Amino acid sequence: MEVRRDPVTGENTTGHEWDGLEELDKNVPWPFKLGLVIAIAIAAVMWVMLPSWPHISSDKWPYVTDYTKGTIGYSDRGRVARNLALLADTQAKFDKRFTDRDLKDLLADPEARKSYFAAAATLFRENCAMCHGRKITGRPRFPNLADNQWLWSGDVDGIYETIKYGINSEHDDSRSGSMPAFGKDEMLDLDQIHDVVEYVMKISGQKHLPDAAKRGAGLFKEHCVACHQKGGVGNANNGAPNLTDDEWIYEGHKKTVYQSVFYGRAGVMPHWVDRLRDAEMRQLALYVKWVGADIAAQKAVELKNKPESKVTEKLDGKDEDE
Amino acid sequence: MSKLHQMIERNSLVMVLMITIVASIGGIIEIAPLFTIENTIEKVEGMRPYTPLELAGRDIYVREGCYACHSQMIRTLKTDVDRYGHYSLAAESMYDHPFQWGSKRTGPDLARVGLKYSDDWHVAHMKEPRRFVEGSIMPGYAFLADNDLDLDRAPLSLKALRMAGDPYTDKMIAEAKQDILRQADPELEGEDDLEERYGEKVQIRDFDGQPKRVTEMDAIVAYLQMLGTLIDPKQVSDKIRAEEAAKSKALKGESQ
Repeated sequence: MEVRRDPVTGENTTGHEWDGLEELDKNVPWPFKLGLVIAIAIAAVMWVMLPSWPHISSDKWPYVTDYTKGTIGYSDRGRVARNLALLADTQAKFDKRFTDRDLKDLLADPEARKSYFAAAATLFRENCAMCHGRKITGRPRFPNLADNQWLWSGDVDGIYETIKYGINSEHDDSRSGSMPAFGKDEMLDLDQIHDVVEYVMKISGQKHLPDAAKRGAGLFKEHCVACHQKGGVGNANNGAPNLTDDEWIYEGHKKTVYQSVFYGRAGVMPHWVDRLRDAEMRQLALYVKWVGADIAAQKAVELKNKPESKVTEKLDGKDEDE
Repeated sequence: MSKLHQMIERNSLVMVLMITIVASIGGIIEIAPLFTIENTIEKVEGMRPYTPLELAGRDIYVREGCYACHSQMIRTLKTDVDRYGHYSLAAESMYDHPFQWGSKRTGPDLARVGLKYSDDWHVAHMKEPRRFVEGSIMPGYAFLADNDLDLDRAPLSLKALRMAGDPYTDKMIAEAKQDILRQADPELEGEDDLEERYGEKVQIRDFDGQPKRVTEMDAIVAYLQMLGTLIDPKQVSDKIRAEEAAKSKALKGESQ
């Protein structure tokens, strides 16, 4: 088939023919061509403006260790450094009103609460809620922060320090305290552990075997009071928990208390000084106290409003948690 | 159709030549930088190859497909850095074969998760993730605590990685099995040997709360707890920050 002019469109054909079908030799529409030219032009400009070509640098010849930096000197790392500097400025402004003041002072200041609370709640959710729960009430193995029972200092400065350096954490200034493994390390035999556990059940007001508890009392005096203090009330200076209340980190059943005595415990609170700003750790310490106080207040109200009839209901053997 | 185009299309040898040239441009751009990788990755202090226990954990991480939901690369974005910590450096992946950067975050980035939470939390969360994190859809991995770790794999893994260029010594490979036990059991002798081989930042303890066994849970928690703990990324970013400050100072100087 010959190349010929198509009478309808006035274009030439390519000269190809398939079963009588012919193909017009049409040009690419000019807007497409223009688009291509513009794209190439943009690329050329960007090559000049942005980092683009790797090249050999004179001091490490013949290795390719350098690149053209571009005329505007853009770098991702530079941009993020600038953005973070801006962020730090904003944060400094936000923190400024409070960084110079005493934490105890801030705790009682309703305006501080207004300014910090929302930010601290977000921080708590992002960093602390994993273990302590969104409602700060903890779960087995992870302490309840709302019960006003503290292993270590429970005042706001003490909490700040715990957040900063952690407990049994990898930080050098970490608080450290651990329960020895009386069973595993053969300081007590199994019968003795059994007796001590019964004694702990007794002082925490749970069901216990009186004879065993009596024997356990002596052992407790000998082995446990150094940390847990006389009567097992705990010691905030070495992180020994109070054994007489009904708040437990490891649930406080006979079984788990037995495990604690046999294998020991050394719960870990991570340190946050490398991850959070100082102001953020202060906010968190305040937040824990604020929410703790709220929950305590709420509980007090509930207790007060509890109808008298409840007591009789309880005596009837009905479920006390409705 | 232009004459040139016609000539190329009707001459198969020229056509092949042109295709080869065009296709190789893409190839060169992708492949050539790899030859310079030794020289372009910035040197940072503190990186070391994985210990055999961490490596076993990493293998489990890959086996269970954790990378499908968790990235291990904090990008150079303000929001990423603010949430996860300093952006990842290329050198931090130098012993990853293959790297676990990931391209999709269903869960959070894990590049610096090491020591952010306690071992207890990792174990409890691994067993029942949705109980610990509201809104989580992470599946449970309770079986890891039941599976004894396959120690026989360790020397083979190290050997394979040595072929990929990691600097494992003969001694490291010979002691691999024993090193796993040493890292997971603080009461075993040889802590110093382990630190001599892998540096002082090796975390030696019972990770999964089962002191008598070395399980897959030990391995994965050991791996997670070392992520991002080896280097101090500020050694790079302080330099960059100083450069930026100098630059903006210079700009201000010009405008005045």
